[in-house]
Amino acid sequence: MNISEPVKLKRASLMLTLLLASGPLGAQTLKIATVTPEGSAWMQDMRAAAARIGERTAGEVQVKFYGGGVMGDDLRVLRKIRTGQLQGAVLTSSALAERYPDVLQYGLPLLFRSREEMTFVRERFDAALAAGLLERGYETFGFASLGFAQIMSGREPVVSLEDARGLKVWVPEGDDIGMSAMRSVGLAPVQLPISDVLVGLQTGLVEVIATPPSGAILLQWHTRLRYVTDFPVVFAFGLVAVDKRAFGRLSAPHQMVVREAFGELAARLDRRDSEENREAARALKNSGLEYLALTSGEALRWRQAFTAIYPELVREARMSPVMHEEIMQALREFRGNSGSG
Amino acid sequence: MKPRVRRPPHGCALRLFAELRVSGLALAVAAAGLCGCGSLIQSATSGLAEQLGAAVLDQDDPELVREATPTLLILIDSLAGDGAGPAVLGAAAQLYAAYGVVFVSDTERAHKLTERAYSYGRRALCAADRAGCGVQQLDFDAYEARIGAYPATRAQALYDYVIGYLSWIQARADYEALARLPQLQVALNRLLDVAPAEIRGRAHMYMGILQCLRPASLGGQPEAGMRNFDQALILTGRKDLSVMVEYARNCARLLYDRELHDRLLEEVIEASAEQPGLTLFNNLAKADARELLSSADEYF
Repeated sequence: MNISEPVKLKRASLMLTLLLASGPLGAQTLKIATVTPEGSAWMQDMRAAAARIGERTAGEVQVKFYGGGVMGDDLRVLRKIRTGQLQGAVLTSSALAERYPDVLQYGLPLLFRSREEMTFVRERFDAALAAGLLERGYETFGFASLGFAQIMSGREPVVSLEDARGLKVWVPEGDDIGMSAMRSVGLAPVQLPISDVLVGLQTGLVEVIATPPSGAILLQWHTRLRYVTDFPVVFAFGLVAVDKRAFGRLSAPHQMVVREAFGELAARLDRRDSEENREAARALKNSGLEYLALTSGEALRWRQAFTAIYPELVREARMSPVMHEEIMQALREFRGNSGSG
Repeated sequence: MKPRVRRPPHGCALRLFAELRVSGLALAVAAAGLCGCGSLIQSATSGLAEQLGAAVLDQDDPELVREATPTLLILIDSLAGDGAGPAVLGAAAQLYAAYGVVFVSDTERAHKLTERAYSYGRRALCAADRAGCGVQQLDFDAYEARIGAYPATRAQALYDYVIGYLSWIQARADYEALARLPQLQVALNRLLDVAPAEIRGRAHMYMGILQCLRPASLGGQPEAGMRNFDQALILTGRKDLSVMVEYARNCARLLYDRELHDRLLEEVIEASAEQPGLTLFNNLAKADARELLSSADEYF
């Protein structure tokens, strides 16, 4: 078919117009959901990262954060990511466990005895976890610590494992590894969504919880608590996860900008945790909560009880036993070097 | 010219009054403070001073008010010594609260001024009724029982205490302050039960802010917060424009309800700022409304 020059030109110009209208090839909006409340420091950091991305890509990549859980719970958000309604989410690590069970590796109860241990292990394994998540379809940009959860109780102080026996211990809804762990060490777990815990503590439906100090204050649980067992129980972290397909549609320079901004964001959030939890712990003490110290013998008994069930938990949660053993080995190495083994 | 509004530093999650809400709440606290000043002067001196209070509230130049307030603070300190009654102490709490959160940008000074506001508030609560004495030493259950039964006839003192406490929380906006929010909520609940309509309107607004603060999945009650704001609008007859601004800022934005957000703010912009006792703060609310509308595209 013979097409005249003017028609060819017209077509070319139409193509150009279409291309320009749809923006450069990399132009995208990344819609990212989170339960983080609007107005929180986390949300402010996220919006600042979004603004940086907008600036550095001359507006060609727009990041919109939907805070306060308006896009639904984790399951719904992950479904929306799969269907392309959303491109990413800020999640706690456990939300991605179904796709990638190893994301729970750091969350074994009493795995870490200190922040230093946690840092040592994370330096060695964060990259492997990020690679695993990428393989399952999520681009991530670094993990942000949410802090160590501690045991807190309303009516009875909990120092030994025996103290906790017979009390109703809260486990977050969907935390199967937590349920399993509590049962295995002979405790009575009660599964409730976060939104019901305050009423649960008021009514006696739950008597023992584990949360970082900041969580106890933000969720107002501290008003129904009297004791904090000063002992790191479990470590939680959050992360920004973006659908690999959506990320792949960005141009290479834009990918670099997003990676850099979200990487800075994760590092910033990660750093904030320890300072915030120190401040929150002070506020808990000033609110009248009593901090209970464990003797080294008690601490050892707690650890022995939980360490004994690690193989079972790793198997049930479908985590890699190899990675688990590598983490344990790293911990032994750290403890050997620091003389705390 | 808009007064310099103190913006506390970031640093912890869920800072209720930091940054996002500071100007609106400050506005509301300040409005309450100057109303209190009017009543102080009325009770303490003469009709001339009463006219002065009204002139302040009807002022459309916040900078002028900022410069004039320190004189009033010194005056009020001299009146609120030992043996002062709840009306004077309450007015002192409100005026210090207003000045501390709106007009002072230095963190240390704001801490000092709002500490005084909070202290006057506690004294007012105790002077009005013995049930209000020593409440800060109580554990939460006992506090809840005591404040939950605070005499209805002393609602004004309870409100003055709330304003002093609010300013203290806002000036700090750290975990120590966040840990006190449930106490504030208890006092607001009591006001909603027993206070006269004028106070209830404001109490509903503050309660609305608190309820919308956390998403439902984290135990918040944004739907209830919206009902609080609706009640606040009814009780204030939509004449207090800061209620609509706070509604938009604290609930509509958090629930991503663009239609409600824009409707409230457009109403503020179209409304007349001149209302007896509200002109000063309505003008500030209008400026806030324009700011919120201009950033809406980016937000939603």
